[in-house]
Amino acid sequence: MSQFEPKILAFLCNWCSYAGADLAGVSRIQYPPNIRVVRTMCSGRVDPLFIIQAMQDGFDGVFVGGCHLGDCHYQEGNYHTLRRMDMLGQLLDESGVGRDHVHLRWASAAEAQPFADYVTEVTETIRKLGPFDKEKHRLALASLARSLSGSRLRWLVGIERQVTEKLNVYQEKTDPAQFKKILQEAVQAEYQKAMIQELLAAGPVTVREMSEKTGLPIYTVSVRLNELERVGMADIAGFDGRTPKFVSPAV
Amino acid sequence: MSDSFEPQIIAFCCKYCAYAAADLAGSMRLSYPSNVKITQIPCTGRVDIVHLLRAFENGADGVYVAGCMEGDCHFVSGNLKARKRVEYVKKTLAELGIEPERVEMYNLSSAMGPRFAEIANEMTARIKKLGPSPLNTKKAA
Amino acid sequence: MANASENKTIGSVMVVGAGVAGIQASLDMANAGYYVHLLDSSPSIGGLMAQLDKTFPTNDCAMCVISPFLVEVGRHLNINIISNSELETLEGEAGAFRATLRNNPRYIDAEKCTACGQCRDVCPVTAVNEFDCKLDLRKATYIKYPQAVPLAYKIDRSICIGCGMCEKVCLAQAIFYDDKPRQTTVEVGAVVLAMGNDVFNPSAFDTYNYANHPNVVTSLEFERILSASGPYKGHLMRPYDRQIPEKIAWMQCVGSRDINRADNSYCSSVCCMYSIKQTLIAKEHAETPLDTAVFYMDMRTYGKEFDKYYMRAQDGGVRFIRARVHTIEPAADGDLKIRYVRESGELKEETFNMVVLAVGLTPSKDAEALAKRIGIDLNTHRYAKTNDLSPVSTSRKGVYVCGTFQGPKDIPQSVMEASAAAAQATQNLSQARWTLTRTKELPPEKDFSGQEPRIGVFVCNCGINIGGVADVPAVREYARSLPNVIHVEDNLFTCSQDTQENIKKVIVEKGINRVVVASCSPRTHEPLFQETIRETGLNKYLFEMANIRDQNTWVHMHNPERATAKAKDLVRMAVAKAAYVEPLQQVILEVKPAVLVVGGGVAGMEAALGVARQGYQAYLVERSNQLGGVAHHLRVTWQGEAVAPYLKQLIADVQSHERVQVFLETEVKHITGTIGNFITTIASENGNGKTSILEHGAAILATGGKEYKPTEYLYGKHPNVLTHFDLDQAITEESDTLKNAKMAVFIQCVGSRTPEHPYCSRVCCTHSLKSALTLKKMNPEMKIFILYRDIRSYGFREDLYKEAREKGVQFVRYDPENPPNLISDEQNNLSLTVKDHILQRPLEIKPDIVILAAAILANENKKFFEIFKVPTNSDGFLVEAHAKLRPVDFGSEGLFLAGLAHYPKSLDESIAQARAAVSRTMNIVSKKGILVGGVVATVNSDRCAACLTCVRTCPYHIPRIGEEGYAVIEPAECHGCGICVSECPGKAISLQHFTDEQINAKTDALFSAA
Repeated sequence: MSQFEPKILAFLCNWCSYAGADLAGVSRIQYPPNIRVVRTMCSGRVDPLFIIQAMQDGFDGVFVGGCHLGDCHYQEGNYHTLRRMDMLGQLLDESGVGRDHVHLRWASAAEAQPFADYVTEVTETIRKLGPFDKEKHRLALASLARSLSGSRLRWLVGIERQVTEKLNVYQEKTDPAQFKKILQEAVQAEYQKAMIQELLAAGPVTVREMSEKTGLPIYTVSVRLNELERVGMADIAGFDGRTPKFVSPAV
Repeated sequence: MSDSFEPQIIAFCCKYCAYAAADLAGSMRLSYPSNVKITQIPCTGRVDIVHLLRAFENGADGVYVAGCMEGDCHFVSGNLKARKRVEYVKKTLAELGIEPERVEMYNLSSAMGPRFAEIANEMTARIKKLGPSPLNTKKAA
Repeated sequence: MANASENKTIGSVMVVGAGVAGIQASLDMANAGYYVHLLDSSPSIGGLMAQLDKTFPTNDCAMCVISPFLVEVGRHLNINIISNSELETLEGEAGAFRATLRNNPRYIDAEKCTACGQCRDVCPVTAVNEFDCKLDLRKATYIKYPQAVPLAYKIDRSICIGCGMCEKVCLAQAIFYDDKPRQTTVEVGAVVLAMGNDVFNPSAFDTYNYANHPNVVTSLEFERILSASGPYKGHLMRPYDRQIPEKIAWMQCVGSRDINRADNSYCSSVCCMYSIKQTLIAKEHAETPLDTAVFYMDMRTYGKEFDKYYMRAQDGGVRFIRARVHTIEPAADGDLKIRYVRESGELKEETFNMVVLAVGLTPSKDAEALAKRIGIDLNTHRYAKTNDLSPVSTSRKGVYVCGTFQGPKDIPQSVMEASAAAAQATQNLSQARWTLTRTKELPPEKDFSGQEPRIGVFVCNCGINIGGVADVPAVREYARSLPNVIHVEDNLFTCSQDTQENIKKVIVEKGINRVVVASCSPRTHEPLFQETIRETGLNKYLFEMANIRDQNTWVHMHNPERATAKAKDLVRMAVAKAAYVEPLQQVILEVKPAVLVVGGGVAGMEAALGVARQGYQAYLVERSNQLGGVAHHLRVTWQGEAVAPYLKQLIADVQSHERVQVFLETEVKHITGTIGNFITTIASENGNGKTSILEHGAAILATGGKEYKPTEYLYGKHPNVLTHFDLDQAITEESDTLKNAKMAVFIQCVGSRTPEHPYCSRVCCTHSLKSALTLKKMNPEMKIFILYRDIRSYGFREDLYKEAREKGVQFVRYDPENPPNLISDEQNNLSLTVKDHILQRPLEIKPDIVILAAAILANENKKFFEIFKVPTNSDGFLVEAHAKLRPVDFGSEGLFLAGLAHYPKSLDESIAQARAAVSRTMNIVSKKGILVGGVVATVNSDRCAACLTCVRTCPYHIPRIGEEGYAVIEPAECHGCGICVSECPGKAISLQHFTDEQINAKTDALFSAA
């Protein structure tokens, strides 16, 4: 039986990884033919939303390649990539899709062999995961896209280095452990709320129905739903006996 | 036509409860139709039958009075008087061939922002269903 | 340092804690001539009351009644709110303290913050929302609640990550991250402590599963659930799955009357009532039928109108189950199974959808620490220690206490004590009265009569709150096209300091004589703008506001076009009214610096002496031939302080004080005048019929009460059946009957909680417990029974109950349907039978003495009350202006009440109320004059037919038919509601600033758009 050939989208930065890939070609270094490359000027340009989009479009995994830390052509772009990809990883785990579908590697313009090795390794990892069932993960992907479109996670990830490594607005450094915790909480909250919002948009829906469809415990749905209500993102549509049904408010 | 009909509704709100509830609806960012315009009065007891009829005469499609909960009037009994006057105006409207539902009395406390929005929704929906006030259509014709 | 030794009295005071008690104390003192520093550790004032949904027993909305007080404090020229700060040390002594404060950083400038909420919207960090009892979340930038005062956000530094997003969006530039903790000092003459209490946390009660189950909530959480501004917007739902509950149970005494797990042996005094309230409100809120059950030990509805409230709940189907609950266990689908033991010993189970734990009050850790820092003694329960005969004084001279820092109590009692503390705190500062208060120097008002309206319109962008939704430049240009408008402009923030200066400049330059501001709510900002225009010489009523934020852009943010159109409508309406507004003159009426006190009991004497000690004349009128009233029959206070020496001293002080004039055997015959200027005729009743005329600015009615003389239980027929008064006398006289008695029986509720007197007399349980202990002390061998319906030893009085049980006093409960039966045989031997609920069989005993806990009745004063036109309730007690926040005021301005005439109460409570009444009168008589006029009704005599409609309509009975034969409405008394105006058949009355012309102008303008 023929083995599964995953479709992998690769985002490679113009100055390092893409050049590394070219060099691999010039050097005739062999690697699996599963990746399709999109060139970006910097790995920092890779929006996590592109990755979710790729999964929604039917890719089985995504490879992101950038310069080594400290070597970024745009000085710090890849530091941002690193944090953003880590946040995305947390989100993917939270959603049940799993972070193994997405990989970040550093390869310089001279590192043709390492580049080829990375592609081989990532391809094998994703191959082992089997075909990605985007239909099964439809709610998860939509919710991931929704939480990544909101400003909260984007802002938190964007500011992390400034406040934990340089100076925050109080002219001191924010404790990285505290920041990590806050980001973890935000990832979980935003993803759970996004799922609920997806269901509310197709509402009216009850708390128990939402719990069933999202797999979240009933009380978690109740709490997250209330957070949405408090900012005008959810509303009671009516009652079925003693059970309230909720919807997204009409704009 | 009912789709495009945007009624003008005036609400007489007492300072202590209904007006404060309207402010709270704002603080809570609850949306409701923009058809409702508020006139603040010290107490709904200040609302005169003449004020209500004048609004209709001038072209209001709907008018309502909103005061404190019954028994909680800041001025003891103003809201009870207002209710009577609203009832009277309902009768007068009926005699004139105008739907009495175009005028209403509501009671709510200052903490009831959501209720304020609900009332605004309710009244706007009601008037939209009734269509423009007969006085307005006559004027137009 | 040399100055410190001089006895300089400082005319300012400090109030620590800005809950309802602190607010009341501040207002009282600020209005009586003292500059008040009001300190609170929280970022905004309001305390616990602001969190409540409704208040018992009137079911008033808590926010509705407290928020006008919050606004008044916030705007008061002589109250300096120091929020977010703590008192560190207090040096010096009474009259001249030096307080060191720690001002914690807020990181947001409260002066600049417009509370628009942009910072909150973008803040990426969340925390539990303490205001909603952790039922929902808030951000690191937050405001406690929408009506908060000061109305300004704060950054919670403990969770802020310093990302800087809030600064980026704050157009008011109110954020300053380099805010630091500061230390400041203030000099004050006295200090009032009102730090309040904490609410008991039941997490440690693992058998109740509070910590593990979302559907087990505390009563305060339930309060937020019921609140329309709470997490569920007032829908009654349970947290776990948002289902509407069908059955809810309340558990009483969680964290109260419990030394095993809670370490609080006292009764929290308020939980029975708030639980009843919650059952009633929950039933009201529920969209489907709701079953409610209250599990309790004793139902303590001991206050005014409380028992009727309890009966209303019973009639409304609330189930009251006398039982101890031992476990609350999770059942299927989020439900809870309660296992409890009935009085009879029977073990029962029942399943509920939700359980409310009626948590008690517990001492605040911060308050305890503060008390230690400044040297205030605490009692064994860790509350401020006070004596019954000096109820608001702490162990440190010059430092006073009120509210729940003194002990668990309800709102009216807290407010009453707050006023009492205000009176005591200022009593020795009277020489410094008005020395540190501020007055605003204002230019004379300009006369615009005969001038055409020249209107200036200022449209606010409120950062992006208005401008981000509505097209502000379009609104501004539209305003330019309106009649009489000669100036328009739009501002980033119309309320900012620089805009205020600009408005003043423009008014003068362009000769503007009416001002319209289109911005937020007049509720919060009208006084500010009125002040601004007044500074240019414009009368403050030449002003009108259009609320285009709270009632427009905030609620139509998804529809900018229609929000713009509505803003134009609202501006047009405001401009139309502005063209008709007239300057209103407020006149100053002189005040007579004297107070009339009616009733010479303890309350009346304390009131008269208090007034005199504040430096004003007091007239004390007593109908009998001696001072002292019912206190002559009392032996000791509940804490054991002897009454007789106190009473003797008080009478001597009253009689010897140069500013107290006592009129014995005298009655009030007639009263005329209004607040500040009453003229009262009194007549001597001792035969000579001499009448006198007294002029006074205020009056306190303390007409007292009396003990019910029982007709039941052989009273008056058998010498050994006594009332409490009789017993006190017998103990004082060390009577042989008592000494020789082997068995004594107390029967509670004799004449109370009956169809004739359907109220609780409040003091009798305590008095019986105290007396039982005294008898036990006299003769430890004596067998003592107390036959009761509910033991109502509220607050720390519970200690007596506990001690009595420990000393072997036996408590037997009886039902009103099966009262005890007392008979006497031929040998005059008493025999009593009563059904014992625990043993479930009749108990037969042979007491030597029987003490009847006889009710307290109001004195009959129908005629007298009619002279003052003050109302009584169905039980004959005087009715205060507001059951919660004005417990010593009458609805009629200038009249106050104190003592048993208000409701049965203990001596300490009477003294506190009398002192509170003193404080309230100081708000009047300490002023040289009072401002009257403004928004009041005026009568056009030409059109008045003297039909009496206004007389009947006015809720305050102000209008009368004057000597000239038409209606007279005193501007000093009119409340300005306008009810009479709209009812007057002849249209003879108009309400200033809300005339028909002005109201109709707005309506006309709304519909006049092309």
